[in-house]
Amino acid sequence: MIGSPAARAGRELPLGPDESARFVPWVVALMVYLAALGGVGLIALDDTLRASEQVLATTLTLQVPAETSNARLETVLALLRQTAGIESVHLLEPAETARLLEPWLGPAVPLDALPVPRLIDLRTGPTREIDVAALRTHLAAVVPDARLDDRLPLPKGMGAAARRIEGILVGGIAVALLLVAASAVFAVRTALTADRSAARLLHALGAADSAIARRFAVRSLRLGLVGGGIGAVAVLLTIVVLGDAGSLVQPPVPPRATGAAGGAAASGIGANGIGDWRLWVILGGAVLGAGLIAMASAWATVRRRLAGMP
Amino acid sequence: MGRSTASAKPGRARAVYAKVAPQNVGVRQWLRAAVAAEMVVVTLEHIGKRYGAGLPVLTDVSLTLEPGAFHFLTGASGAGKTTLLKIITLAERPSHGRLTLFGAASAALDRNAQAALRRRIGIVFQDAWLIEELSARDNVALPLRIAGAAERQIRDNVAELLAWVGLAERADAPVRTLSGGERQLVAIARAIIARPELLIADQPTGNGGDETAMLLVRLFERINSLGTTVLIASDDIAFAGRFAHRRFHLDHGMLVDPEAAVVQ
Repeated sequence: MIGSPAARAGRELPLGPDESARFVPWVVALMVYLAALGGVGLIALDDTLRASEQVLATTLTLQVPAETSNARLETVLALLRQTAGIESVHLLEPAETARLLEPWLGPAVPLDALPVPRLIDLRTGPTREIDVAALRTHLAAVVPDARLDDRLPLPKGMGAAARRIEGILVGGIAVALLLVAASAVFAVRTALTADRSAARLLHALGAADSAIARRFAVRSLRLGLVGGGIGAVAVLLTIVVLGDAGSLVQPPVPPRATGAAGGAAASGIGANGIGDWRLWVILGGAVLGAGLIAMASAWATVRRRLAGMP
Repeated sequence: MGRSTASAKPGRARAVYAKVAPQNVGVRQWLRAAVAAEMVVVTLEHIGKRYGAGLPVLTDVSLTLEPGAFHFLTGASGAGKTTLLKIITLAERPSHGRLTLFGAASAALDRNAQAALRRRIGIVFQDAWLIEELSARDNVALPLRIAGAAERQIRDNVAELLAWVGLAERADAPVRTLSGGERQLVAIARAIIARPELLIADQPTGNGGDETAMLLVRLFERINSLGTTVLIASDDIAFAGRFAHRRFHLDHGMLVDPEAAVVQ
C-alpha cells in the first residue's frame, strides 16, 4: 500500500452504484467529437487562408495578347527573367491554359480558334520585393497590350468572413467544453441528491471532505477520459471516411494557383489527414481536457455540496 | 439473530479490538490513557434545535456521558431522540447551546477536526444505512478505509469481526440480500470495527422481537465492557427499564425524569 492514510482513503472509498457511468461518457464523447472537429476545422481553415494569401502575395500573372509574335514573347520572357525580385518565370503551354479554362468553357470548345492570351506565371520571393509599376512600364514598351495582374492579399471581406467562421468554431468548442463540465456536475449532483447516498454516509462516518471529493473527482476523470477517447476515435473515423479533413472547410484553390502553388494551398491537416501531428495534439488535448474539466467540475461540486452539510 | 449473537464472545471481541489498537499499546492501557485524557465523552449544555420556523424539536437539553458509561435515551416517537443523536454525532448543528465532544467544543472546530471527531464515534443508524451494492465485508470495512488503514489490517479485522457477530459465511454477500437482522449485525460490526470511544445506536432493537432486542443489548453491553461509552435510543420505555443502565428520557424535546415516564 503506497501513500498516506488520507490518500489511501481517498482512493479506496466506495461510492455505491455509478448511474452516471451510463450516460456521461457518451455526452462527453459527443462534446469531444464536436470540439475536436471544430479544432480540426480551425487549423484547416487557417492553413487554407495562409496558403492562399501566400500564393496570392507571391504570384503574378502576365497576359500577353494572342497575336503577339514569338520574338516579342521571347523579349518579354527575357525581360522578366532579368527583373529583380522575380524568382521564376513560367510560360503556360496552350494545353495548360486550356485545362484552366475547361471548367468555364467545357472540353468541346476549340480554344485554337479563340484569341486566348498567353499566360505567364511569375513567382516572387516571400517578401515580394518587386517594383510592379516599373515592370509594367518596361512591359508596355515591348507589348503595349500586355496585362500584369498584381495579385493582392485576400479581399478584406473574405478575411473578415474567415475570422468570423473561426470565432464561431472557437465558440462552439467552448460550448462543447462547458457541456462536458455541465454533464459532470449533473452526474455528481444526481449522486449526491439521494438523502441516503453513499457520500452522505461516508461524511457521517468521518470521511474528510477532501477524501470524498477526491473519489468523485477520480471517478469523473475516468468517465471523462473514456468519453473523450470514444469521441477521439469517432473523429479519426470521420477523417478516414471523408479521406481529407480539410475538404470540410477548404475553399476552392484559386485557378491560377496551379503546380507548386496548388500544393501549398492544400497543405496541412487537409493534405496529411491522420498523419498530421497537429491532429493528434488536438485529439490528445481534447481527451485530456475533457477528463480534467470533468474532474475539476466534480471536485468543485462535491466540495460545495459537502460544505452545506454540518 | 440468535445464531449470530450466540457466537459473540467477549474474548474474541477483545482480540479484535486489540488488533485495531495503536501498535505496541495494550487495550486496557490505551483505554486508561484515553479516559485520563478526557474525563467526559459528551457534554450537552442547553442544547436546542428548531428546523426553520417550525416548533422546537429540542428545548434546553443538557446531559453528560462519562467514559465507559452505558445509557438509554428513551422517548415516544417524535420526542426528539434522533435529532439529539444527530447533534451528538455532528450530523446536525444545534440551534443554540454548546456541545463538547471528547473535550473539544464542536462549534470551534474546522471541518477536518469535526470529521476526525466523527471517526471516534460508532453509529448504528435507525435503518442500518448500508451501501446496498457492497458486500457485508466492504460495508463493515468502511470506517477502516476512511481511517486509511492498511488493506491487510482491514481484511483481517473485518473477517474476525464478521465471524464474531456470526456473519462469516455471509461476508461476501451483497447486503441487499441479507435479512433485517443480518443487516443490523452488519451495521453494528461497522460501528465498532474502528473501536470507537463512543457508540451511538438509534433504535437498534426496533426491527426484531423482544428476544432479538435483548440479545442486541447484551451485545452492546459486551462492547461497553471493553470501555466504549454506549448510548442507545429506544422508544420502548418499558424495555429499557429492564436494564440497570441510566436512562435519559425525552418528552417533547425536553429531558424529564425517566421514572415519571415509566409511570405514564
